[in-house]
Amino acid sequence: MRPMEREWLSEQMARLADGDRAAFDPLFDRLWPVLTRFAIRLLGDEASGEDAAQQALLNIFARAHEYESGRDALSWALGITHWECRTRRRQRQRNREDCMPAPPERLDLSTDPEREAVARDLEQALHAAVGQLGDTDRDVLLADLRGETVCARPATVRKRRQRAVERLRAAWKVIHGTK
Amino acid sequence: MERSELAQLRRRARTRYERSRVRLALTHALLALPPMLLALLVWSRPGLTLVLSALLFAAIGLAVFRGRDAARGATAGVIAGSVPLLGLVLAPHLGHLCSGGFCMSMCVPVCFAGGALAGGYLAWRSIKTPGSAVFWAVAGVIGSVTAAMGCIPMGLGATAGMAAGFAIAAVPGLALARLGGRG
Repeated sequence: MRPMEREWLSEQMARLADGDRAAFDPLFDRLWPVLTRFAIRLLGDEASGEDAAQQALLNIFARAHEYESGRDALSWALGITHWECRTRRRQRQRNREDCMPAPPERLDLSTDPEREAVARDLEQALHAAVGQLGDTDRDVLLADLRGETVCARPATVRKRRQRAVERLRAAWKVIHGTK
Repeated sequence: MERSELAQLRRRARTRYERSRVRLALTHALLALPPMLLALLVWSRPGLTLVLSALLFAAIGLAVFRGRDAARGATAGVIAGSVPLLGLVLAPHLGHLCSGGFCMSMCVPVCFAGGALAGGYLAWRSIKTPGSAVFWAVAGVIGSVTAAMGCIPMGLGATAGMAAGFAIAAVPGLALARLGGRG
């Protein structure tokens, strides 16, 4: 920016700080492209740069009454924009750290193959017992396992569940001969 | 950025600016508090003091919100008006002025002197940093309301004395400022 333009900017900012509303539009029109270019150069992409420049511009006009006559308005405005860009860069860095994938879980080296085999056998036995139940009993037990809501009164659901479990026990006894 | 988005940004920036001026005006309007507290402490006229304080608060707030000469006039007016107000704190302790069978309370001379000092201060301000008609109008109104918080409870004589002192000191100052090319 040429020295004369910088001087003009400082004069307009001083007028705005003093309460002269006529200085608002010319200042806005002159500052917007300058701040946008500056922010895009700092942040490296157009979208973030424009966002930062927008916020900086809003902050500049919110703080216009603080501007001291005699100061260089361009430096003051760019200082506010720089701070806004720095805040966004820090935010981006924090977001990147939060999104990093979680480290892989440690392998459970205490897995016992025998335990695995027992669990597999129990599962098969349960399937065999459940297979002996009627559709209603099977549906009630499955809904309960999945935590699904059944469209019936709670007392009715409780009774159905109780009957299904009793029949499952009975089927288990028949197939496996144990309680 | 599209035109409509830019127009929206312009409106938002303008709103932020106006809001900041409102906050500034409210902060400056607190200048009405010291004269109000002083008047409440010295005089037993709380109703009148509160009414004048509310007027002062509103006048200072509006002037600062408007900015420029109005804001400068507001600050100058409060300073100028505080002089007669402070003087009246001393007046009850100064007794009476008596001469050849005629006696009067010191309040009238003190108000007159206070008004003259206030007018002189504004005249000096106007010569040093020439003010416009807006400056004078705002300073005059705010100065008068501030001084009135002390002079009105003392009576019509004291109030008239203040106004006379102000005019005698301020008018030449104003004329000088106008001769200087601004005003």
